[in-house]
Amino acid sequence: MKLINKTILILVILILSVLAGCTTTEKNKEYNPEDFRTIVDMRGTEVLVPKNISRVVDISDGFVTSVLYNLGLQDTVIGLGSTNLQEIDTYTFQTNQGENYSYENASDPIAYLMKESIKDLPAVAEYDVAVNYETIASLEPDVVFIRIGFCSMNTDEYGTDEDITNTIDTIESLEIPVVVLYGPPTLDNPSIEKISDEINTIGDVFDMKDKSNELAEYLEGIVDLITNRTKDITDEEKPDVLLFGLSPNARESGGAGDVLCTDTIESYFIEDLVNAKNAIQETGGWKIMSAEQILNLNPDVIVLPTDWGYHPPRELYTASYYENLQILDAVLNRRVWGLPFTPYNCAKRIEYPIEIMVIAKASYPELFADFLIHEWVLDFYKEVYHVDDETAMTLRSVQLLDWTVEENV
Amino acid sequence: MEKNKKKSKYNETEKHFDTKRKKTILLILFLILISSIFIALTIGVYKISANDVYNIVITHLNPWGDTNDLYRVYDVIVWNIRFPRILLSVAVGIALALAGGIYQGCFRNPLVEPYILGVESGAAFGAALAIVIPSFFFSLQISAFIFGSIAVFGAYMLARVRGETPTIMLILSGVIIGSVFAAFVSILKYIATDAALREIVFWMMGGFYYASWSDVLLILPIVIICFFILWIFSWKLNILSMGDEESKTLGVNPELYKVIFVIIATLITAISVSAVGIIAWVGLMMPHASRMLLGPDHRFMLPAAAMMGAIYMILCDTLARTLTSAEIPVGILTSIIGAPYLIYLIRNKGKLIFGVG
Repeated sequence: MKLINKTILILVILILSVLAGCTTTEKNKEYNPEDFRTIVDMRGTEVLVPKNISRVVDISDGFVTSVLYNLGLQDTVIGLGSTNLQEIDTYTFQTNQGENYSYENASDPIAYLMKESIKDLPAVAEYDVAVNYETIASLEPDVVFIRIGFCSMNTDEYGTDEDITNTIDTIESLEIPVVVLYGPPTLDNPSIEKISDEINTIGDVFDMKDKSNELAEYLEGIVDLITNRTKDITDEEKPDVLLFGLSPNARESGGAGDVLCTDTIESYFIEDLVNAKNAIQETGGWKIMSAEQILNLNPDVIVLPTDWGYHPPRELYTASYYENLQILDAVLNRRVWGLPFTPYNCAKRIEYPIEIMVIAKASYPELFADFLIHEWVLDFYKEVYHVDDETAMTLRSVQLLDWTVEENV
Repeated sequence: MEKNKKKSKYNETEKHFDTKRKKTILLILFLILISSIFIALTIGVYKISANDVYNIVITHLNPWGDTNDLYRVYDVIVWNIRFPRILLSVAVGIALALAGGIYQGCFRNPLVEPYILGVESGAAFGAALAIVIPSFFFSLQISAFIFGSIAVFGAYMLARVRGETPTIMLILSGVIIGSVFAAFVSILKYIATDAALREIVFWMMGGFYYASWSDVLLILPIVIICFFILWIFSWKLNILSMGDEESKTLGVNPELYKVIFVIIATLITAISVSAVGIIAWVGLMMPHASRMLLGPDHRFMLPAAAMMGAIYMILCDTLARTLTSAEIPVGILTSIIGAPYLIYLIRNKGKLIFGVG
């Protein structure tokens, strides 16, 4: 009996100590229609948003924050949907000669531009983990943006995914306006116009559609330029372009790396926008391939995306573990290109034209001879983020594109 | 010194036969479980006073209570987010711990856990199939449940030789069936798109993120009914755990009761796995912890394991939703906390529980 008494006493003390923190009950908020306006998000749902928005939770991989930076509204962001904007990465590999190459201070442009303010923001979601509703509620946001298709909400069930629908419903039940954006990978036919729609939906929420449209048109303009130059290329003239991720994990699993099959947005970039041919014509997403399979493909051009770390062309040219692949035509002809450092890039952010431009230049160097990536990319950063020359050069460095300066491409 | 040792051994044995002490411990565990539920309700990233939390719960439970008077945000957080999640952790904790205790008793093997007969791999395959080919099954949960059950049935049929099901054969066939389904999952992962792959990984890590009242109303009653059935028959499990020959001598048909116990344990495991994904360690750890506390008598060990499982799940899930601003998959926490505990058991109580060390 003594044991029971002791336990009951401890439990009573515990419960009383919890009850000790009582406060008065809050009342339901008064709603004044004049303080709100109605917008239509990409679900086609009317969302009532405050006219003055000062607290935004961005549940994406930084896409919304990038657009808000362009609109000069970056200070409204109070919560993130991923920690990728807070990460500064390094990557090292060893060459055939035993030298170590290191790449440091790699980050997303927004991570660099907002480094002081962004590092302490809470992440309400993580890769492969659901959002924490209570964290969102405790932040008391004026509006929550959810970008379906970003890495933590990547889905094939466009608009009908049960878990995502539950997430949206639950946040809305907390009386928080939710603006839903549909990123391109969630669509049957991905289109960069949808990214423009996303940008304009964000602009609409802040009643700044004119300004957001300027950004969308600028980005689309780059793509139009590329598609116009390549549209007349015949099937016979198209080079085989392999998107090849030099993932250390893929090597540990016995492969040479990951290849990006036809069900990826990058394949859409290659085939529909640049008008080249994806060297791997298999359905699916990222697949591990062996060195023999890659040698069998022997693509004309290899483009290296971020895949468990940044991978510069130098890695494929010189790394000891790629010695067997150094007889590929693309390697021998020095037609290996690296995309900017873009971790958590499932749905693409507003730097997507850089990726398309690199693929275009890699595929058709003569057609884009007037474009030097290392110069053009500075103009891009200046236009998109309204930064000066020096900052633009730093952005090029943190995106690990300095190799384009070294090779003058 | 030798005298003390003998005395301590005597006390240990005496403890295992002291029914009054066992009942007291069960009562204490029940009180701790109820308190854990009420304490966990007040803990969360969003600060709500305990007064408000209990007021919301009482208003909802009171047939004459008017929920429209409640502050909407608090109401959603307490009643729609926290409470179903806590009750679902209780149901899953009870189910996994209970199933672990049953399997260990039936198979007379202390390292057996609820996933030993391939439930985990079968359910994972069912879930992956529903994700990769959504038109195949209407619901991921139903698909996970069906394939979890098929795996166990397959393992059982594979092990059945000349009308008997030797334990070693059952465990081996469970391992084989589990490996086959694990390979099928790998194939589905290979052909899956990025989005589907992420969903499979997400589901396999386990978690209570999407707990809803409909989950609770579906799972909790089944688990509680199964608990009482198992508890009523727990004395037969005491006989079964002595061995097939001994059971026959004592008039208990080992084949029949093994089937009944395994089917019920598999049902509650599969239904839990289909709702929340794969959560490891609970089914292995809690029966051992319970046995340490109350001895091997299943009449006391099973309810204690069930309640300890529920308390452990509440603890892990409360940490999962409050440790960081985002969520932590609860399976990670059950493993992180569980592994050192099992090491402790092996190092200190190995002889008592596993017969080693």
